[in-house]
Amino acid sequence: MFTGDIYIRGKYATYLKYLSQKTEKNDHKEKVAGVFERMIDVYMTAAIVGVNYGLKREDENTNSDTVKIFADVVNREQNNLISIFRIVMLVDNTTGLNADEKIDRAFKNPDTPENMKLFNAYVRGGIEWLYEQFTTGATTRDEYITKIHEIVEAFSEENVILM
Amino acid sequence: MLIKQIALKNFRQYKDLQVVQFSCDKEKNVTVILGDNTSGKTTLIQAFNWCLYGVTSFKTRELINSETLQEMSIFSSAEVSVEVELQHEDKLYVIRRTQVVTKNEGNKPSCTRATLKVEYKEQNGEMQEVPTFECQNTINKILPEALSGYFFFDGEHVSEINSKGNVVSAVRGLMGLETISEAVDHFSPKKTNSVISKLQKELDIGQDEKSVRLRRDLDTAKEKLQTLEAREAQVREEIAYFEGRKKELTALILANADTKARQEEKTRVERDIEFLQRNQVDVEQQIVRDFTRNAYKFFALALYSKVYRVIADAKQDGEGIPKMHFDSIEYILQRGKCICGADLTMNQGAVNHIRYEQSLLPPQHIGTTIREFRRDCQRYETEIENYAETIRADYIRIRENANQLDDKHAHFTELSRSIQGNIDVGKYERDNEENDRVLTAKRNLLLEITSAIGEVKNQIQSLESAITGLRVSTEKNKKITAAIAYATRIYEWFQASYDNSERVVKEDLYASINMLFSQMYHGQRVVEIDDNYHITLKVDSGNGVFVNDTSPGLDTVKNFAFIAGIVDLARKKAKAKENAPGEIEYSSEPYPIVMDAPFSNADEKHIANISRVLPQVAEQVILVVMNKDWEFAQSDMSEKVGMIYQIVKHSEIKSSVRRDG
Repeated sequence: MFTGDIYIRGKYATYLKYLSQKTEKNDHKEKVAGVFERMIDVYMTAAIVGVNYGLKREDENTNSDTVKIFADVVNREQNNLISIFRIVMLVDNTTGLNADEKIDRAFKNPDTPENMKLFNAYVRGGIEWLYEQFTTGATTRDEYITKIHEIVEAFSEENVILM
Repeated sequence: MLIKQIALKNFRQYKDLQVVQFSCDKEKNVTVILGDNTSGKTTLIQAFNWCLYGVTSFKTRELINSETLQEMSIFSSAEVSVEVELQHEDKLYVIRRTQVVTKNEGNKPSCTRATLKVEYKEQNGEMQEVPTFECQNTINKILPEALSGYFFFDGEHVSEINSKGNVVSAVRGLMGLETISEAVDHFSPKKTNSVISKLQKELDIGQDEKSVRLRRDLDTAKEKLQTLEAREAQVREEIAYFEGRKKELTALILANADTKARQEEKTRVERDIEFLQRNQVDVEQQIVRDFTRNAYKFFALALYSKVYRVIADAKQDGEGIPKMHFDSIEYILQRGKCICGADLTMNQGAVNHIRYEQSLLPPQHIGTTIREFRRDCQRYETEIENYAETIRADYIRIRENANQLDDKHAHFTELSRSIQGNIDVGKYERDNEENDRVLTAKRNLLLEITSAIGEVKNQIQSLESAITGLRVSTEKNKKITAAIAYATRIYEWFQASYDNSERVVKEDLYASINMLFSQMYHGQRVVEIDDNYHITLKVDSGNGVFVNDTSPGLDTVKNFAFIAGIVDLARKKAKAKENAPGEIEYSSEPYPIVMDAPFSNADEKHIANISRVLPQVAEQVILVVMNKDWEFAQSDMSEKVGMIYQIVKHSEIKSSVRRDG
């Protein structure tokens, strides 16, 4: 798993590009937040964020926008992607599995369409959350940068007790 | 010149005072003084020479009469003198030469240097004395000594007359040609010291070309000066402009010194802003980088505990051999030989153990993987311990930078606002620098031009002085050239006159001599006269060819003819002058002939002829002649004789002159 190209489409593709600097670099005319270095960084963070906040979004096709994360990038992040995948599989409670079943899903038979569907649902949820966080009350570069600080500060505060 | 009288006092034979008057009558113009040999005839002629020129042919210096000397008491002195009274150019001259003789012991005489006294009669009748230093000169003007031989001559030496060296100058002098001849020589370009030669030496040849060149150089230099001065004026104007501009700019720069400071600060702030803006990009990029790198680990903050709990809740069957894979064990079981070398085919118990261990290995067993995953998660947690801090620090830097940027922007805006509407001082300063540069260049140029003007002025001055120098010489040349032209014209005039006169003189002389000769000579001979006034007698050889021919007797006649010819010519000239006083004429005074023993070597016939001719040609004839010769001459001359004297010889040392008739 995580050996080929990763495709994202619809508004989540738009959001993902909006959050990534890669897009900014490719097309300077397009107005973006550019708060992540690469699209793969958005993808990985979105999966964690999605499962953290329990945000799952179904695949949708409201616009024709697509994003393709190339296999070479994916392969370079494969280990991290697998770790993220396992975290998602272990933490997800939406399918009523016990711990052993979660372990099996995460470790024994991870690469199933069902699992990947679940994973990508969380990715889309996370992308949407990130997009909303970064674009709410922010339209300028300075504001987007400030949002990084605010989001990190807020998330830290939320989890102080947990830590 | 006519001789009125001669007075001798104690002169040689003539004791006491002896006065002989000479006939000055125009018709009876002959005075005859008769004397025997040794009576004192020659002494009379000598008396003339001594009186006029201070010379005698006597051997002793003392001229005193011997008897007088004898009578003198010892240590006493006596005078010897000869006084000639003559008429020259209508003026009466009295010429007196005196020698004082002192009788010394033993009867020896000593004499003083003879003194000469010349007096002439003024028109009012008073006698006027000529200054001593002018006396001899005056006499020479009346009758040059060189010519005297032709007029006071000794008949015994008459044969030498025409063969004397300086006949030419004698004739010229006599004929009045000497003066013009000298004038010709004085002007002649052929003579080194002539007027024309001297003038030509004064000429500065070759100066004219130099003058032209200098003038051309001067014109060029003046044009150059004009150009330079125009350029100088122009450059001065330019300098004045640039100096004015400098003042303006300096004033503007001073007046806007504050603005300048603000403009400089604005520039600094602009630089700061640029830096901060670049820095802003950097720090923003830094926060993005830091945020991105561990974002998924950070947002998993709340998940790690959940992950650990799920792992802990799962049933774990022991731990497999680390890093050992299920397939590795399967390989060992298939080959039937343990890695320790034991045979597994015969040991089912060992195989069962191995199978158990195999069951604990991935992929059949995930324990190991889970453990590795959990360690990864723990590492994640460690890695994000400072995540928020880092982001915070990044953000603070961003904010600080942004604040600084804001401040700078505000400052910049403030400065811009305060500067707005003011002039650009920097531009003035740059203008001023450029202005200074041009001004320096112009001043240097002015220096160059000024020094060039100085040089050209010096050049002009030296050229002008050279030209002035040349002009002096040029003007001098002009004058000299004019003078040479005049002198040449005068020379040519003199020369032509002289040539003409000489030709006339020679022709006249030739005609005169031939005429006189034919009157005196009763033969077929003719006289020829050459360029040097030497005459030769020629005789027709019978076929029309004339050859030289001479004899002592003929020479006498010839010489008389020559003398007579000259005197005749001189008299004719004098007359011509009187007749035509307005014409250019040469002074020629009628002269007497004073002859001593003129007829020696001549035969009776010739004596008669000479006697007839001489009184015709000379104004005055004074003949000192022997009684016997006079007999031949008397018949032909008696009509002309105005006075006749007899020299009476009292003793060898005493004679006297007695007038006869």
